[in-house]
Amino acid sequence: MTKYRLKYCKESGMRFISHLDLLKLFSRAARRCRLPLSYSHGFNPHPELVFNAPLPLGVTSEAEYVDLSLDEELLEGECFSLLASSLPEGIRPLSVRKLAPGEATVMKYVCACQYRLLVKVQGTTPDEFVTAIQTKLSKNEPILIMKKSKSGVKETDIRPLIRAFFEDLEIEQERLGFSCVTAAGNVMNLRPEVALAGLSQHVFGDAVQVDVEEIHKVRYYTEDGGSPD
Amino acid sequence: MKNFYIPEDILKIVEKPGRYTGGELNSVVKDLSKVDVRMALCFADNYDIGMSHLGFKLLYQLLNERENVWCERVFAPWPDLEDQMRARGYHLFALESQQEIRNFDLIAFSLQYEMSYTNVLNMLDLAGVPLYTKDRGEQDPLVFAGGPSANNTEPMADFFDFYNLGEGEEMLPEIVETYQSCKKAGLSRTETLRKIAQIEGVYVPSFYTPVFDASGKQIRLDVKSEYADVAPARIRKRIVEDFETAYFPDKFVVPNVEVVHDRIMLEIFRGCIRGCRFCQAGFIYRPVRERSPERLIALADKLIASTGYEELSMLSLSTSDYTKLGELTDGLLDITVPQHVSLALPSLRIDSFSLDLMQKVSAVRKSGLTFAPEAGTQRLRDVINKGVQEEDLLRSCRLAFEGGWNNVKLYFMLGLPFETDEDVVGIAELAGKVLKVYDEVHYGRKARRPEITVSVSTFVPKPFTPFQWAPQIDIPEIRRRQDLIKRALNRRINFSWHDPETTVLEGAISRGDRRIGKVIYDVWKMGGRFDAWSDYMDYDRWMAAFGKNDLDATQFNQRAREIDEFLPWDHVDVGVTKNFLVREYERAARAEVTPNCRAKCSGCGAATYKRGICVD
Repeated sequence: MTKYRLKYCKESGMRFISHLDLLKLFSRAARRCRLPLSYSHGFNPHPELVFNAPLPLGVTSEAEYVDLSLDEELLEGECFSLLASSLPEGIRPLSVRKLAPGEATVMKYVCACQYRLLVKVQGTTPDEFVTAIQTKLSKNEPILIMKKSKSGVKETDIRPLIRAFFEDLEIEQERLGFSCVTAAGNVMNLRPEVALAGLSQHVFGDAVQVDVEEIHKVRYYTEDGGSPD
Repeated sequence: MKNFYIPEDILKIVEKPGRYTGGELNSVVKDLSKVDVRMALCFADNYDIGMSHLGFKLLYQLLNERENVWCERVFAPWPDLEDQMRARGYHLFALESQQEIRNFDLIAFSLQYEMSYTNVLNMLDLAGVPLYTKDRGEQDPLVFAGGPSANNTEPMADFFDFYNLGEGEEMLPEIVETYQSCKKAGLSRTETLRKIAQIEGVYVPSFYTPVFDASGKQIRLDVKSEYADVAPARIRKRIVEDFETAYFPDKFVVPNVEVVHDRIMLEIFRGCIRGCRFCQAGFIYRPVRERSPERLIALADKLIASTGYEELSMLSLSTSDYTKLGELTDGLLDITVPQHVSLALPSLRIDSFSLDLMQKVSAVRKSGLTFAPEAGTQRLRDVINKGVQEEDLLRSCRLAFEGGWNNVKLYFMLGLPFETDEDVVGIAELAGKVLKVYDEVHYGRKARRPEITVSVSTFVPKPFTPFQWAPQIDIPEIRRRQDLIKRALNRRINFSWHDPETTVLEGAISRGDRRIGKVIYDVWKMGGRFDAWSDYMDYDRWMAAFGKNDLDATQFNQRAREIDEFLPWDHVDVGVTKNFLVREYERAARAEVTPNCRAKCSGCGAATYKRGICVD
């Protein structure tokens, strides 16, 4: 059994499908192109697919990963072109890499994730909004928010989970586009819209309203600044 | 990036937005400059239900085989989206083009059940198309219907420009071609309908007038004199020329979001040899016609390659009655097993042969077993012509329990004609005997808890069945009989039942005449939609609508018809004759069974089609 890591984009209508639907989508695509996926043994055999953390509904991405186990060894290029021939519109393969034996899964590898957001700001100008939040961030004080986690809602300091914010700014009237890097992975995770809402709340309270219109996931970072590609 | 008709900010807040974005694998997008006819194929329920329906998916592929026709799918938006659409002025749209359907040429509805009729009206309204045929103008699409519940044309007759009575594979190409030539010739709406009315199997309701007597019973259906040259007095159901070679797609649209039946459906035969007297499908799809194992296996191979589905299910009214079931199953397993595709054989009659089959099949997966004795006593099973003997059922259960199954579902019907309390209690007793068999099989051994479920629906008399004259029982009586079962049932057996309100409404509509249309309209007007969903169905709203139209629902569901009385669906000829149905009703009253089509021809009338089992 050999493992391959496929990196792909999730875009267009596919951003509205759930993680569970994605699982079926890949096993069906593999069957159509006769990719020899390995199946688990036992009562209810299922294909051995390992994905990165589920993308929330509506979010697009150019850095999605799935590790596929195959019964036969193929060239990386063969594996890529088979999948490219059968994946549906909106799931676009980017690269395939054969994994080293025992290589860690994507989520074990990564520590942060870069996103691009488009937001609409009401109650202040985008310029003032950015400046005030940047000032807050530069103080390096704890920023406590009530954050949902597996163990329930608890107070969390999100400041250490924000690696970069408001980069590559684009401002057009009340709309603001920017990139950010927040913690991601199995240990710590902060979604960018949660970070933004927390920051806005801390600086402006209810005086400012922020609507997140688009979220696009750009890349993962590993500890050494690389990627799990 | 693809543009969606519904803007993103709405898509983000509705449940399962993937229902509305189109772009699924094998969906068809065409170049509008090469298209002459645009058709909206509508299913009057949500995406999840509509995309589970084989006939709907089949007709979609069939129509799109024609280069100059673009057929697109349309489903009822879930109420969360509908609210947003109405608030912001969006119209009903088709998935493929993401364009409004009010500008299409044809709008076709596949009618599967009566409780979806309010959705038909709601969808037309959302589309911006006038609901009543009489209110539509030259610029509006032609709206028509087909499907099993369309066989009683009258309840929705005021809303459809015409009906396709019979098998869509056979009729739709001709309908589309005729429409296209009318459009090319610039014919008016009425002239076009006159042409379409001449296609065999088409019924144009506005060309006919139903005549009622003083008591409110329909006594005739008159052809309006100005249409006498084009409108036949009786409309005969059309069926495909040759079922073996008839169109069956080699690809299906594969939904991106989960739907109810999400798998390859392979129609192994059409019709049913059994003739259970309550079952409309058993009569309207006659004669029984099979596809050969060779063709089915070849289709299965292509369908797995084009869809990638992980499950393939045989489809028919009674899998066990397929003549070469062993050969077919083996041939299919040869393809499915190496590709990790599981094979499902639904509606099997359980005997040692089929259990052997199921053991083979469950190499991939083992699911629960279902049995449908339908009635609790042998006498009543004979009344409904359900050829199941108690010993057979118990033997089957024993085999299944010994084979490791512990999950058994038993389907019954309540309120059947000639039913007594003894028959009702018999349901609980029969289920108790099944439980006893389980205990015997596992006696003295540690066993899993048995999962035995008794599922009881309430009988709805349907047109074109021997029980089309029979009264339906009322709500208090349904409740009383449900309670009888509940009290008599062993506590270790699960019990599920249907809500009586929906059942009696279905009863009123399914044998309704043209006056019912106004009731459906008023229910819709008062907010009725998704009435097939118990969360949305409001019985009081329906009663108010009956009252408003001075109609008594009990006249439609509870009234026993006279055998010689005119029935509102008498103008439709489905092959099975009224004489045969009368004979069957009389035999039912005497609890006499009728042999199945394979054992002996009972002269039902379907032989006039000279197809399938009637000539083989």
